[in-house]
Amino acid sequence: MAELHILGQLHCASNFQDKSSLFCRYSFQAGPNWTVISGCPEGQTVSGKLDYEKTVIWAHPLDIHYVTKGVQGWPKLLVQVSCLDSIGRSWIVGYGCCNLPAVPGLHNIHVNCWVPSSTCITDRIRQYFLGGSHQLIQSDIVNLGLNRFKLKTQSKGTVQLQVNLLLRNFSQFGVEYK
Amino acid sequence: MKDSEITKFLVSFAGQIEYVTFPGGVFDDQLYIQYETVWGPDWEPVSGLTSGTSQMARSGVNPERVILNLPLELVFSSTNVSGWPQIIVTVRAQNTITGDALRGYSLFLLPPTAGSSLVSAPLVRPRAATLLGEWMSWITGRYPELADPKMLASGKDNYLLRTESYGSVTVSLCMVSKDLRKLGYDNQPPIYKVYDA
Repeated sequence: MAELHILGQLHCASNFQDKSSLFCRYSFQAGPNWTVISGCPEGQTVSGKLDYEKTVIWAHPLDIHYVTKGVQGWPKLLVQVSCLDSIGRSWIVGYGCCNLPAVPGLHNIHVNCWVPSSTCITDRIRQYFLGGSHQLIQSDIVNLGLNRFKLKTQSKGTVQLQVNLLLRNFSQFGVEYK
Repeated sequence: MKDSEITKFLVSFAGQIEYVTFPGGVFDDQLYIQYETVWGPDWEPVSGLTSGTSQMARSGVNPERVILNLPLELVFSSTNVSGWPQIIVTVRAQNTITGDALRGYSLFLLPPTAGSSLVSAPLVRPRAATLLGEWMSWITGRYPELADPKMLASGKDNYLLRTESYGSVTVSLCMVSKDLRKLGYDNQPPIYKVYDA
């Protein structure tokens, strides 16, 4: 069976407009052909404070080993960025999803995030003064393109990750990727 | 040895921890670093120093940069790519007023592709949990420290540690591997990607 190693770091978040510190929950989602041999396909980063460039550094290590029987359902990364304010409240400020490239070597990936926006003026005023946000009940809408029509969203910042991909035995099974 | 008998591969990393950068300038008398290496269960170090301490260094003409030029030479052998070695660099400062204080931790993944690379990683340090602690660290200039910095390399059990970041560390490394491709691994980017970079 062919193997895929994901090594790297969930590096930082930039251009989120929030003033408080941010953290990220992430999960790698792969199709039914794929099995995780070692490593944690989901986790949570530290909660970082904004630095002078308005970015939040996480530098969260990633090391995941997949074994697969086919290329369908190549792993995707789902991120969910939340903020943690000074009195310990937290709410979601961004959802994002990105496909991992099927190319060995180092990749700098930018995941552009969005969040469900407030629909009425009272919600908007409350969120401006008190914080808080809407969140998705079914988060599978993030990685599926279905049923997004009625969703109103707002653009948020970017999550950056640096991943090194190592592929093993793919060419032995006739998979051509480069 | 026949190709079918090979089970282990060797990777060698050679290079140096070049410098530490603080974009607001360095106001400490002396800066020094300690590095540690963390690797997975299938890995073992073959040669080289897996941890070390640098000299006490001071900035020069460029007030933002402290050059350390600490050489690194590591050789590892493994049967499995998972658990690829990482370096944790702890930057500390010595000062006449505050004494010995932490400046931050930075985490590097040793490069998994063959060839040379210049990587910089940001410095991260934990923040005090309480407001009083934050004031105390502001007054004394000493910040909370991690009991075991190696926990940063596992990425687990951080229990939403609150951190801030300032500055960066730059490392230049050259990676050479042996038998990695014979074992079926492919870590080389295609040619079009090399030209893009």
